[in-house]
Amino acid sequence: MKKHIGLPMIASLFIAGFSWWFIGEMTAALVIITAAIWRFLPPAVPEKVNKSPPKTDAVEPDFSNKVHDMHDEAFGQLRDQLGYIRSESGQVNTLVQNAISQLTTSFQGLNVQSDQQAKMLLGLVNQEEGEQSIGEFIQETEELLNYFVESVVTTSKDSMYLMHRLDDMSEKVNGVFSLLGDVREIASQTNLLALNAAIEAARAGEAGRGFAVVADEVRKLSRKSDDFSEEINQTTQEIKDALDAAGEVVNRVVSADMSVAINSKQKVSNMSGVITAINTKTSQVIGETGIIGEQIAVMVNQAVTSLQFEDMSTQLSEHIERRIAAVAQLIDLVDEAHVAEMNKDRLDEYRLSLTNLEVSLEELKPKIESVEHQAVTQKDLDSGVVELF
Amino acid sequence: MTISSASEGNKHIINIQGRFDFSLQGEFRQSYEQAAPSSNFVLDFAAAEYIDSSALGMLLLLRDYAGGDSANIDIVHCRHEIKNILEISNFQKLFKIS
Repeated sequence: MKKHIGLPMIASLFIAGFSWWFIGEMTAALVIITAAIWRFLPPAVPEKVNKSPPKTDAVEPDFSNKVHDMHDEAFGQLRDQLGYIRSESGQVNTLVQNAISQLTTSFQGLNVQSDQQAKMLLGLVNQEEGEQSIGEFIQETEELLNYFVESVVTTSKDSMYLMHRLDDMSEKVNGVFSLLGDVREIASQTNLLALNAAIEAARAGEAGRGFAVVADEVRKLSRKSDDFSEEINQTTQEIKDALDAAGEVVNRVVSADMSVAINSKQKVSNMSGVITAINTKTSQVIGETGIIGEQIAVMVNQAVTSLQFEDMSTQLSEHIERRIAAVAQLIDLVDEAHVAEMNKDRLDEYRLSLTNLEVSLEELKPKIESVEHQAVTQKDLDSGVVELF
Repeated sequence: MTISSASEGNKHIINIQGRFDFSLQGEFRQSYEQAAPSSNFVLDFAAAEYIDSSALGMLLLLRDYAGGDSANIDIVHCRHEIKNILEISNFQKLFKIS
């Protein structure tokens, strides 16, 4: 019968060893181990109390030794496996912590890069002020152009007014020519009159000699008058020529091709539009990038928050440690009981160790239950609840 | 004649053909001075192909003749280029341009 007890116990211990990672199953394994231990122990107690005859020892020494060896082997395996579990659990814990440490560093780097990006964009915004001066330049150019156009128009108006006055003077000069014609006509008639007077004086003979002198003087005067009007005519003609020359100058001054101004204004206007478009686009891009930066910050924060599961995994590792410690303690107790059983002659010692085992098992129960309770409350990673104990 | 004018009641219509430049100054002046300053002047630019700065000066003198700020002058049937020149010179504030 004892042979059958040892094998299921070893099997159950192996199951416990391989299923250590699943906390729920750990508990199951513990239950199995405990059950196996209890199945192994009770017969030992009555056996020891009821049939104390040393005959049995004499009859079954080989069998007892075999059981003892198997027991030692099983317990050795159990301790080894527990050691592996402890070591591998520690490795997992280290791996997780390293990974989390690297992830946190990466995310912090991401945050720094994002900040730098934001600063570069701020640099772009500062360059915007340079572009504003381009805008000011364009505005000044536009004002200059307007001033030019205004000046041209004013000059044109004044020049055309001057031209009108020149035209008026021209008209007056033409009037002078007309008047001079009248003067020459009078001179011509006077000349004719003087001629007639000279003829009449000649006919009068000696009596008309004095009159002939007067007639000759009048004739001279008419010729002088004619010469004088010719001089006035020439001078007036010069005035008219001068007026025409002035008109030509006005023509040159006043005739500016406005299409030059139109083209320039169009170009300035186009440039202004282009600058406005660039400014709009730049502001838009900066705004969008700012939003993206904020989103990155939010995501990084979310990631960092998610990394807090490290705390939970650490807690779970501690639970595993505590379970392993509990199992190890159980094993020690059971082993102790077994050693006592093997030395049946030291009955008091055996009883004491049994009592210790019983007490220790009772003490272990609430510990296991408390670990169990905490593990259940921490299964929810998303909620990010960190249980402190 | 590149300028012709006609009066209909108070309305005095002046048609300008071809290039409106310095060469038309005498004709243009005559065309408006034959009407009373209080007339409603209508300048028809339908056949006008080009204007230069001297034409702008002439228009301003017409405006002065017609009473300055109280002048009543319409410039009609402007082609695009001419309208541009009038607007760049801020003439839309001084004349009714269409």
